Amino acid sequence: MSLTGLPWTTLVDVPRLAAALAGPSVQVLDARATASTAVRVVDARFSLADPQSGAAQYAAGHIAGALHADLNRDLSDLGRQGHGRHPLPDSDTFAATLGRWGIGPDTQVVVYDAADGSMAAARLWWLLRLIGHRNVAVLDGGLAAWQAAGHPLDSEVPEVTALGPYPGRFDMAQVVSADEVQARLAQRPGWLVDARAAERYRGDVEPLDRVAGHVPGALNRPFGMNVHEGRLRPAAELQAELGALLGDQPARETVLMCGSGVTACHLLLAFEHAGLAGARVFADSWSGWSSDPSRPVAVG
Amino acid sequence: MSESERRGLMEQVLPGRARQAASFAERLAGRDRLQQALLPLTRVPAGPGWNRSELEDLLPPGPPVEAAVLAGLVPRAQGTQVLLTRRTEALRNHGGQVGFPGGRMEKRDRNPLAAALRESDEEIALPSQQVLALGYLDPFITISGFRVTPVVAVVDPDFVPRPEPGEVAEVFEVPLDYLMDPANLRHVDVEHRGRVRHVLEYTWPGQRIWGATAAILYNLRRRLEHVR
Repeated sequence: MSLTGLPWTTLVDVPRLAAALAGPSVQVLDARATASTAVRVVDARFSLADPQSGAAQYAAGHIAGALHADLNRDLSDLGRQGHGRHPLPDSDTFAATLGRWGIGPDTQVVVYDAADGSMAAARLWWLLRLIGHRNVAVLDGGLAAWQAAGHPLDSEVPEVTALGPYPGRFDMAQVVSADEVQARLAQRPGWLVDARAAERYRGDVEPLDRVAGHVPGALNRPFGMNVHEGRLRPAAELQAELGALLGDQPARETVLMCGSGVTACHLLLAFEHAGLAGARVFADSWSGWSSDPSRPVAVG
Repeated sequence: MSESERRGLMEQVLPGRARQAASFAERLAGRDRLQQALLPLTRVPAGPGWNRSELEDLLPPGPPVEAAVLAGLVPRAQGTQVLLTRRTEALRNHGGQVGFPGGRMEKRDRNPLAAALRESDEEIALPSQQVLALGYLDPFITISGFRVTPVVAVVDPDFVPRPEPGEVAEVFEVPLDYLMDPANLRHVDVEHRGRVRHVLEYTWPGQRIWGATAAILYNLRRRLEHVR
């Protein structure tokens, strides 16, 4: 396996994946949920607002052998209240889903989405780590890079031999709660980093949640800054920039957030890729935080 | 905001913007060449300063004070501009002089980039998300005893400077092409404590760009000249 450098735990590039795909241990997952699948209500005037588009794109063509994961159905439990727009799925339900996908502890999983991994490949990468699965990587550049390299797509839905539920449980110590964020509000900035676009962080515009702004003391690092031409930037550059953000605090003290715990996972991927290991995700993120009017909000 | 406007923003505009966050950096002409010319961000450059030997006997006693500056490149339609400041006259160190935003490193600064970003935010309100670092230049030692590590970075052209009046009198831009043209840089002799020193100076009208700032730009030019 030295040729391809297995196991992959953060990123894998197109040539290495293509070289390894003949092997039986690689299970590819298609997590091409668009932003629109975050909400099931459909307004036909916006084509991106089709909540089925992830599944439709998958049906039209995917990397041969890939399965489909849906952000809303498989990577979230939309029934849980007070935890933002993409509450974590139930641990046992997710373990069963992985089993149904034929993923066991020895499987090398590669996840991809349309391009940079932010929607929602990195979320699935994070959930797999959370349940104790280390051998999971995001395809750098996603399907766009795959196709740009001239690799074909396939429309056949693979038949997978289901396994039992994945033997693991979410390590909730890796998930930061709103209470922990509340308890650390007085800490010097540098411990909490928000991956949303600058306009939403500042509170200039907030189309999603009842309140605009950010958690007091949070720093802003739009996840797009970690991407160059659809791929994660070199680890060295990210280490310098993300490290500068943290000051003298170690990455394992750092909490990452976004709107609903999806792009924060992409920021976590950037941290891990940069060698700044051990940051944790505030899964409820802004949508959970701002749902309680008693919590403080900063703007600007 | 109507429901459909809300949804339009949410589904299309905002995800696009977060993804476009660093698109200003894609607009920088010759980004790859610049990056090849610079020292990588992974390794903080060591050494006493490339001009150390010129300053024998002139430096204050003791180890130099570590500092960092941000050499910001702004990709504009008319070409790349270099972001410079003129410091407030009353400042104790380098008052009234033209320089890059920056200052001394503090204990909590993990690397020179961190110090340059923190100082740039303090001096001209430059938020870190409007900066994309490219690499380091060689450390330079000032006659006042600072060992300066310059960071070359792309600065978002949408950035609007707000100078901190206690430190910065003015923020202005000079075309990179001008500063990289050898014809515009000259040596001048200045007298310092009874000794004549050669320093570099640009012939830019209106602002005197000389000394450490000119030397840092000269260092950038030399490094660019060595890229194939």
